[in-house]
Amino acid sequence: MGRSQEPEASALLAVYLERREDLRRYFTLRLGSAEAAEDLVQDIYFKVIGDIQGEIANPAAFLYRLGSNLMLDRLKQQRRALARDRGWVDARSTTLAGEEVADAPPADEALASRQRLERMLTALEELTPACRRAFRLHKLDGLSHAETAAAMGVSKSTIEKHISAALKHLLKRLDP
Amino acid sequence: MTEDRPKRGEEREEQAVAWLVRLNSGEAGADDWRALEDWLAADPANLAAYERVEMLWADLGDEAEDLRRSLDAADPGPTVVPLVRPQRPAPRAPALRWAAAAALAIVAGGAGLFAYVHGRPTDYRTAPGQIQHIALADGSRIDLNGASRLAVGFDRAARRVKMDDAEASFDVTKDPSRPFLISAGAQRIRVVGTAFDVIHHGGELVVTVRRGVVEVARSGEGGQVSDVARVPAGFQLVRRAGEAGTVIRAVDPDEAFAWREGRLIYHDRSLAAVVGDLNRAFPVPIEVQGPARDLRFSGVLVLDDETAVIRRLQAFLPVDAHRSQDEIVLNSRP
Repeated sequence: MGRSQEPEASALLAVYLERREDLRRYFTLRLGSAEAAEDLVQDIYFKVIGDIQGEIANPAAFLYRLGSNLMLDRLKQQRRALARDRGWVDARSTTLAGEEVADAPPADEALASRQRLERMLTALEELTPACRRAFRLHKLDGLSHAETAAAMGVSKSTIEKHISAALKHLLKRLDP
Repeated sequence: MTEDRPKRGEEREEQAVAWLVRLNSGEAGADDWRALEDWLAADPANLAAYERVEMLWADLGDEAEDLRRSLDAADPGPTVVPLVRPQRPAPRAPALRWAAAAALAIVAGGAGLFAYVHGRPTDYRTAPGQIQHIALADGSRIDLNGASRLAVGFDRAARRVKMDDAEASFDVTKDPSRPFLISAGAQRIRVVGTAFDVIHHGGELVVTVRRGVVEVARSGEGGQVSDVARVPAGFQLVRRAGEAGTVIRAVDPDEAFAWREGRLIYHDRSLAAVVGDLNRAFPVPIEVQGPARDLRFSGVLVLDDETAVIRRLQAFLPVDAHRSQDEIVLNSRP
């Protein structure tokens, strides 16, 4: 298998310091804000000096993915906060010491997420069995393309085609 | 022009999907990310298309556990997925994190404070003056202050912590599909990803939020939840067992976290509360008696040496200290 590296924080930190400018540039483009990108690159740093365990085959690519996940977490948090402030706080909150304090859990949010889950499932059921299986192993079980290919006894390029097809179909159904 | 558009949009989407699939294949390198950057920078429409694909990909990851369960129910074919995968640092791979959490629970074992459906909780205890840094399998971290006890257990539905008499600061990684739940007496704290400090001592719960939002609720005998309060960053919630009220006030969160750097910071706090904190930091128990309990203290205490700290307190407050071998008693100076 590929090269592996000791999960040593200092090794990853060295790659981080070397790639810092690249990361900053990429996330400035992604976030449309140099300031937000700087914050994010700083957050990547805190993750890097924290406890990251296991072998990292490609530390530079790992840092981009780590940053992407942090970015998406933030976006989702903002999205949820917006939805929550719209549908929940207005109707059912009281004010306590100047702070808004909610009385009930956000039922609408739960309902919306259940509906979205249903739509995802319906879309997945429309895929061919092989395509669905590749998607499941790769996306839901976390196997790499190579591992998925080995599990299904097909080539990596077949897996790539299955995943692309699944994603295109899901996009069509969920985000037309 | 108009006829071109749908076709071009479709092509763009196809390219965006191809980029995302490549970058998540497990074989992408830094060069691939730089090439993506060039493609994104070439046209704002590329960026928009990629954002859309990426957000769906992330949403699917958040729902991974539910999707898997439903797919299994619909289509129970033979499965070759290993139960515990070799550790690979995929920051967004719920399957992997669950596997890691399960492995942790199995390795840790130990007599738990309470039982979970999956895995057994791990107990942590600290002596006065000892601070323990706990790194959890999901990437979350807990700093446990002295004289504290808590238990941690993960299952598929939630990450759970039970706090006895304890102070701890939490830095919780985001995982909307698996909330992080803390129980402290009859109080429940729920977060999805945030940083905050919790003191649970003598029936009092103090939650100070540094980042994100924390939900605190009372749970009744039958498990029903009441008095849900949302505490945003920069605020502190205080509740006492057996009292209905909730206090939420603006604070400087750094003050609540200062114990991790060996300092305590106070604005107009009772000496009883200060002594409660000192008893987490030092081995010889301190007791404050009578009216001295209500004396107010403001200032910074550096936690270097117990005797020195008591002396500094005496410089600010009219109290006498009586030391015996196994305790220090503080009283109002006559």
